[in-house]
Amino acid sequence: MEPLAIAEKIKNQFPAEVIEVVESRGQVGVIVAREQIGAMCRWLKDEPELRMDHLLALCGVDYVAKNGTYEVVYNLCSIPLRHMIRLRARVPADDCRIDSVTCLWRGADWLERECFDLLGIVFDGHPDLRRILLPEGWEGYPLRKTYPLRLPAEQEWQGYVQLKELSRELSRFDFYSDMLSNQAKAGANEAKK
Amino acid sequence: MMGTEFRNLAVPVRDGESELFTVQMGPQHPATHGVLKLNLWMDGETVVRCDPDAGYLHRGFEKIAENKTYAQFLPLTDRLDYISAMANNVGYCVAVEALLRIEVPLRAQYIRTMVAEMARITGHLLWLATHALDIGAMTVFLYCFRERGLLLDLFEELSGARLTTTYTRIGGVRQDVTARAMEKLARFVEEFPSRIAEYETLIDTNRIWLKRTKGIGCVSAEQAVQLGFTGPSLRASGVDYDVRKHRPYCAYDKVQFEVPIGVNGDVYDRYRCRMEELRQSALIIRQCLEQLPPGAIVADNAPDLVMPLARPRQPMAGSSLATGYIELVPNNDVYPEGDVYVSIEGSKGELGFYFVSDGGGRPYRMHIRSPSYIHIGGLATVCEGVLVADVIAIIGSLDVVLGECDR
Amino acid sequence: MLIQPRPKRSLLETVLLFEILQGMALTLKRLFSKPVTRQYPDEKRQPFLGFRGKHALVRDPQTGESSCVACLRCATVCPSQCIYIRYHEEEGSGRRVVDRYDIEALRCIYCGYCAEVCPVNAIVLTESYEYSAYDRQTNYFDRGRLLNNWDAFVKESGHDPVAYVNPFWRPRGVDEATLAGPRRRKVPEEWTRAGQPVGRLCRSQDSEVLAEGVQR
Repeated sequence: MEPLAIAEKIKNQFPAEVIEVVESRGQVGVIVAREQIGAMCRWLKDEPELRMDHLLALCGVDYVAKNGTYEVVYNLCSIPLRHMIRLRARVPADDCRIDSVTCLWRGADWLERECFDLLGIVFDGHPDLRRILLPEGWEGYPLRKTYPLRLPAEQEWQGYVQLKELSRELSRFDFYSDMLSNQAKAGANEAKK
Repeated sequence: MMGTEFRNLAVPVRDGESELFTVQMGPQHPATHGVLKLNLWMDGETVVRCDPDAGYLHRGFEKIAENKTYAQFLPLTDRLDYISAMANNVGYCVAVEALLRIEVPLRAQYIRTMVAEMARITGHLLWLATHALDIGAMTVFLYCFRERGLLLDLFEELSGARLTTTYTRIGGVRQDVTARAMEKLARFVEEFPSRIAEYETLIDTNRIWLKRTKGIGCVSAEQAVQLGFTGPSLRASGVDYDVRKHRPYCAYDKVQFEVPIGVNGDVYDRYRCRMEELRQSALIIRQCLEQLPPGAIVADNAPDLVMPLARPRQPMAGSSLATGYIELVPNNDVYPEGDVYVSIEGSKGELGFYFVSDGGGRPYRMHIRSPSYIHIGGLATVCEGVLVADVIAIIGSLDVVLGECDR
Repeated sequence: MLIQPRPKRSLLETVLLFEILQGMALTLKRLFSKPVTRQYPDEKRQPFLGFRGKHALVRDPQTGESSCVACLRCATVCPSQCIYIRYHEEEGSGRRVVDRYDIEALRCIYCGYCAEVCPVNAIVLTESYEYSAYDRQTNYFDRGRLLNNWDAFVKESGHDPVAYVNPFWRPRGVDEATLAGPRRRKVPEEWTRAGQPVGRLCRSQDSEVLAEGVQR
C-alpha cells in the first residue's frame, strides 16, 4: 500500500490523534499525540490491510527548542505486504512519559530502554526500565540538546575521574627504562650463577 | 581498586530467585564476542533467567554524529560492525544520499554492491570461524581466516586499509577499482564455492557439531519477528525478509540471487542459512563483475569532503573561516530539511540509519538501528531454559558484534 | 529458497566415523601444501599502494621544506581533530607561513581525509606501518618529525623523492588548472583527468573518455 494511503487510513481511524502528516524523501511520517499510541500500534499491527508486524527502529528526537516536545519515532514495516510508515509521537518536555509498546513487540524492550537512557523519556508499562548503554549513576541524558559536550570538571562522572587519576599515576611509570633495568638485573643474576 | 563503583552490578532479583546460582559471564570472555556481559541465574546447569548487559563499548556515536558533518562521521561507521566495515560505509552513504537527494552513478552502485557482498563474506567467515571455535571445532577457524585474508588484501588494494576501510564517499566511492583487483576478485569468486565445500566437509555432518547445534535455541517465526530479529537469524526461522529484496538499494535489483530460508530456527539452521548466503554472495559478486558498466564513480552534485556547514547570513567580502565567528543560517539547498530512514542488509541483519536534518550541515539527530543490539536484546528470551553450554552456541549463532551493539 | 537438509548418515558411515575421517583427510591434505601464513618480523609484507600508514609531510626537493600553504583544509576536515596548525601572514605578500604543524598520531583514525583534501599534496599517509613506541611523545609528530618521516619513507621504500607521487595522494575536487603551478608535482599522464584512478575528476563528462579507454 502507498505510504500516503496508509497515513490516510490512520487519520480516518484515529481522527483526534493525528496532528500532521509529513512527507519527506518519499517516506511518510505521521505526527500523532502520545495518548493512544498503544492502541494505534496494535491496530496497525492487527489490521489485515496493513499488518505492520516488524518494528524497524524506535528512537527519540529532541525538538524542545523548536516546539517544546520530544518525539518518539516508530519506524514500522510490514514483512508480508512490504510497505512502511513512520509514527512520530509527540511527548511534551515537561511530562516525559509515553506508553510502552513492549507488549506488542518484545524487541521494543531494549530500544525503549535506550531511548530512556539517552533522552530520558519514560515508557509506562515497560517491564524493566533501567539505564542500558550508560553506566548506572550517570547524571543527565546525553542526547538532549541541552546536554553539553564537555561537562565542567566538578560534574564529571566519578568513574571517569577515577580513570583519569589512574592513568596519571601510571603515566609516571616508565616502561622502557623499567624493562632495560629488568634485563640488566636478569643479566647480573645470570652472571652470579 | 575501582571495580564496583564503576558499574552497579546489582541487577534486580525477582522472587524465588535468591536460591539460584548466579554466574556473571563476561565482559572479558572469549565466547561473548567482545565485551558482552551476561548475568545468568541458574538452577544446576539450566539457565532460568538471562540478563544481557551491554554498554561496555559505548562511545556515544549518536551524540558524536550530531557534532560532525555528514562526511566526517563516515570513518566512524567503520567502527560499528568492524568486521564488515564496507557494508556500514555503504549503508551510511546510501542513507545520507537519500537525505541529501544525490543520485549515484551506476558504476559506483555496482562497485558498492560488490564491496558490500565482499563485506558479507568476510563477516560470515569470521562468524563461522569464531562460532565453530566456541563450540570446539578449532580447525575451521584456520580455513576461514585463509579466505578472509584474501578478501582483506583486496580491501586494502581498493581502499588503502584492511579493516577500517572508509571506502565509499557521499555520492560515490573513493576511487575506481583497478583491473588487477577485479581479476583477483574474479579468481577468488571462482574458487570460493570449493572452499565453502571444505568448511562443510569439516563440520556439516560432524556428529559433535550436530549434537551441539540441532534443536538448540529454537526461535519460531512469530517469535523472531516479535523480537525484531533480522538477517540470517530471522530467515533461519522461516521468515522471508531481506532488505535487498524488500527495498532494493545499490544494484541489488539488477542482479539475480536467492534468499535462503530456514525451517526450524535453531542454531543449525542459522548456520546453514549463512553458508548458503556465502554462495549467493559469490554469485552476486560474479554478476557484478560481469555487468560492471563504465562511467563516473562520483555523482556530479556530490558534496566536497570539507562540507560547508551553513551559509553566512551576509556574505562578507574577504572573510574566511579563520577570521572569526560568522552568523549562520540553514543551508536548505544543500541540506534540505526532513527525515529519512534507510536500511541495508548488513552481514548481521538490517542496519538502518534514521536521519533528521534541520538544514544545518550536521545531522540534527541520527539513530543507528543496529542488528546486534536487537539480537542481544532478544537473547534473554532465547536463552531461557537452555543449558549453560548452549548459551555460547546461541550467542555465536546470532552473530553479534559489540562495536555495533553499543555504538 | 529453502535451505537443503543434509542426507542422513547411513549406519555404516556412522560406525566407521566416516565424516570424521573426511575431515581428517582434508587436514592431512593441507599438511603437504604451501603455508599461507607469514613469519612476520622476519618476512615483511609490502603494503599495497595507497595504504594509509604513518603520516609525513612531503619534503619539497627544491626548497627542502614542506609545501604546506596553511589552507587549514586538513585541520577542518579531520574527524578526530588531531591536526594542529599555527601560521602567520607574511607582511607585504600576504602569503601564509606555517609556524607549527602537529599531528597527534595516537588520536588519528587513519581515514585519509587530510591527504585527500590537501590541494598541494603536502600531507600524506605513507605506507610505513611499524611505528609502535614505548611512550606517547614518540607518536606526537611535529613538523620536523613529519619531514623526517618522509625522508625515512623515501629511504626505506627506495623511491626517487623528486619523481615519486602516489596516485592516491592526489587532491580531489580541485581542478588541476586552478592549482598553484610551481607547487604541483609533475605526474605521469595516466594519473591526470580521466585516467586518474582516484577522484572527483572522474565525473560523467569524463566517462566518455574513460569508455574509450576501456574499449582500447
